[in-house]
Amino acid sequence: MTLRALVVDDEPVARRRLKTLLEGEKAEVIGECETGEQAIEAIERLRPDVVFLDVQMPGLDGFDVVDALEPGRHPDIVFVTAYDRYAVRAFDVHAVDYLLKPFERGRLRQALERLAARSDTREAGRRIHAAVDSVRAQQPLRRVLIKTSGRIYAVRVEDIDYLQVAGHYLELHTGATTHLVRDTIGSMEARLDPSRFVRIHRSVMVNIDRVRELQPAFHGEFVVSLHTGHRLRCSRTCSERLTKAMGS
Amino acid sequence: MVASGCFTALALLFTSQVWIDYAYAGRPLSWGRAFLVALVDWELWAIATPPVAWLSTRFPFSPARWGVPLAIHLPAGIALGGLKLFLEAMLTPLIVGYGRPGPFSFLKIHLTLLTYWGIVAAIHVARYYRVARARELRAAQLEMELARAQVEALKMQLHPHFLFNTLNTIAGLMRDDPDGAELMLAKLAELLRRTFETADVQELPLDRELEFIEAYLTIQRLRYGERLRVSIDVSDAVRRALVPSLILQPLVENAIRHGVAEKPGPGRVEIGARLEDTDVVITIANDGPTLPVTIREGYGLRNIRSRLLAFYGDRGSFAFGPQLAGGAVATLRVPFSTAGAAR
Repeated sequence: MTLRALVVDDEPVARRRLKTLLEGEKAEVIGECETGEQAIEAIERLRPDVVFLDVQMPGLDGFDVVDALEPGRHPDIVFVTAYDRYAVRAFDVHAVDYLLKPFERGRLRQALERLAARSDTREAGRRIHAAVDSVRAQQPLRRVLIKTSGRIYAVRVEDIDYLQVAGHYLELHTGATTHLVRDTIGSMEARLDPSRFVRIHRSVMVNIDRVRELQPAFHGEFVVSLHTGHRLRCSRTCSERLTKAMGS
Repeated sequence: MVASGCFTALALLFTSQVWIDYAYAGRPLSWGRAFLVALVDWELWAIATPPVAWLSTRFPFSPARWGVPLAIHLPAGIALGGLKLFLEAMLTPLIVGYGRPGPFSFLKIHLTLLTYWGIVAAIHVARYYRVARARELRAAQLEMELARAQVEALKMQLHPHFLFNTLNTIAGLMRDDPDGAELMLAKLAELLRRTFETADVQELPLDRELEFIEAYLTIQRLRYGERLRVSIDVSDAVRRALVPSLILQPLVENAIRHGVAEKPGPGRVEIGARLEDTDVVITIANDGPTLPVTIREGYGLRNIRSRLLAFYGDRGSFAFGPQLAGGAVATLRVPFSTAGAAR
């Protein structure tokens, strides 16, 4: 049986190489994508058997692509990476297959044989998600994935001025734009770099690079002024945390 | 403090001299009094040292400039020496226990003037020593910053992402485009070789620095293909201008990393260099994502700043910030100089 493969990499030569190698094996390349966004769309549309997925890409990366997939109906995924200590360890732990660039034909053939021998694809999908989650847990969040009805995109954490709870959602404020994400401030606090983001209120976290000044207000509270002109409230204990983070 | 200690030591040394002088004059002194006489002699110099030091700093002698200092120090030496001899003549009889204060003897004026000039000389020596030390320190600092820049350059080339992706591209080109693969290998080798070669070269002509950047850009263009667009606009007037070695590479690397590698679709990197008055102005810009209002300066940028400061003081500058049209621009400004020309 011929595997229907999708190749995702932002570098054209890398895509061409994988395509050339795959065509010598029992596989057919049904599509190529150079961004994570294209990959998500192509996976939905083409329903490939396997996706060769580059981990490092501009915009949405390989892990964001996995996050955006429905865990139930899942193509097989072989991660491709030049170097990523965290990821490789997680792949090993969760028995997820990966290729290290540059790889040779024999290694690719081995990966394809493993795919062919795999019986339970649902179990494989679960393991892939577990691996991605454990990589995410090991390093501070770099991008937040925003899913709207129309599209999926990423917001870089360094672009976020502050985060604020809004009902069951979180608002991410980046300049004049506000992005909604279905998450809790507690879980975001756990994943964001604590040397960059500080919780200044029950419902607000601020990017300390954006803080211009703190001014005492009534009842031991402070007003945090941002470079963007926004003003946020902050309790005394929060102000101590904030000044400590700003001074370091 | 140090001066006072030195003069007390001199006083101890001269005690025997005083004792012998008085003994020869037929008026022997106890050793204790002889020491006190010597002490008065030299401690008066300790008191005179600050004004002498001030004059020496204000009017230092140098091969190029000695007329005015001489015109200042000659009368100053006579005046201070005279005052010192007068005070000594007033104080010494009190210790010796006979004779009367003043009129003081001008017989000692020669030795006094000699001492004045001795102090002036000592202060000059101390000053030149300090200047030499500062110069040595600056050289050591430049060397250290260069070593750091070299480490940064090597880290960039040996950075796993860059190195393995480059090797992967070579593997990819090998079948379909052997010439491309060969070019990429040659440029990777050139990049590494040049980094090793600049190990002890503080400054390079801009031309040479750009060749290094060109090798790096060739590799990145082969990797990213159509996505990376580069334009280089360097005016001939500045091609021979000296710039700190390896100073552009981290900036070009940043421009690509944030402008192209982090942004889907094509990205542009623009490198420009021109002469502005007596300064060489180099700009490296990209059309990447708009920078946040404030940015964190990484190690590379701090290294650039401290190297410019060590090289040119306030005559060099480095600025980094957002561009109006989007993306970011880094601007380096260094005073124009060429190899062989004195700075």
